Amino acid sequence: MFSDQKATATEIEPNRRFEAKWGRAQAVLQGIVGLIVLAGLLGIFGDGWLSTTSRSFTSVPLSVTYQRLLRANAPSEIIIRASAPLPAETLEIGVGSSLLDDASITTTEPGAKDVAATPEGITYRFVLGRERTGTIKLRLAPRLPGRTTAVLSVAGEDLSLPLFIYP
Amino acid sequence: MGIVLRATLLYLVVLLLLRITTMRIMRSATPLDMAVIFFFGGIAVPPILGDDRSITGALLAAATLAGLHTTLSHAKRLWPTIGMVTEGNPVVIFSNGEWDEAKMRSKRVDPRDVMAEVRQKGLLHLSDVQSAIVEHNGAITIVPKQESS
Repeated sequence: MFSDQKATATEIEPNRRFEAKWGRAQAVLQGIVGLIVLAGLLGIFGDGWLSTTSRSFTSVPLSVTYQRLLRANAPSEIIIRASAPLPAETLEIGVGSSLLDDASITTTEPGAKDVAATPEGITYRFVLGRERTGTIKLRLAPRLPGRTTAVLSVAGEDLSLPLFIYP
Repeated sequence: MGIVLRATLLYLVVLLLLRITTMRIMRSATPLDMAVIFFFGGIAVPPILGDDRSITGALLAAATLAGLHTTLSHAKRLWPTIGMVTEGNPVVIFSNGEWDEAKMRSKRVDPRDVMAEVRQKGLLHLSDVQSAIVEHNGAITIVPKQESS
């Protein structure tokens, strides 16, 4: 540490009070940066362990895996899996309009055989084939930040998926 | 999580590539150095963010890079090897009228780079120079000859 006399002998304008305060603020900001990175690794901003969740329909053997924490303008997926053979070779999935106000479904994989738009939302019809199982992916493009709920309907049963979209 | 991992990987890759290509970023970068820096900047961003155009994604990537930089800056104080790997050591390339060609080749510095620094130092001739050192930050330090009394 320089003595005051030595420091002022050089032509600078030391502002020790400011530097001390800035040093503390910098340490706090560095801590916040560390927390943001940790939160990102855990998936608090989407795409990770704390964000990925699964729900299942009770009347049909279908499970839905999705990110409950999304980012606006960052693509995501809702994955629907048939864990056991379904009653029919075709599967109709309805997506409620509450989700479509805040996000778009850009594509599906496999492609839907039929798509029907109604005031309540969109209904996709998929052909599963003789095995009556498979995985369907709905590619999601969140647009508006905030809370929303995706409602998926299969065989008359509604499954609510609460979502939060970051800016 | 993907953004943090991709940003970490790209940061380390760009750091390594900059270390082996150009060190003269802040003080004496030439168009040759600037071309590398501009292209690295352009090439590194798309793989980190991909289709993600969200503010949160950009914030997360920026925070990851800031966090890595801060961590490495602290780490090199604790473990000098990290500083040597990421930044290198000072190297004397000219001393007592003699060039060290091998070190100049390894640092990719030519006499014109040194002469530019000599002139900036206000010296007119190489004979006025005691030594020239390529610092760990890529800058070239010129030590003038002490005037004999």
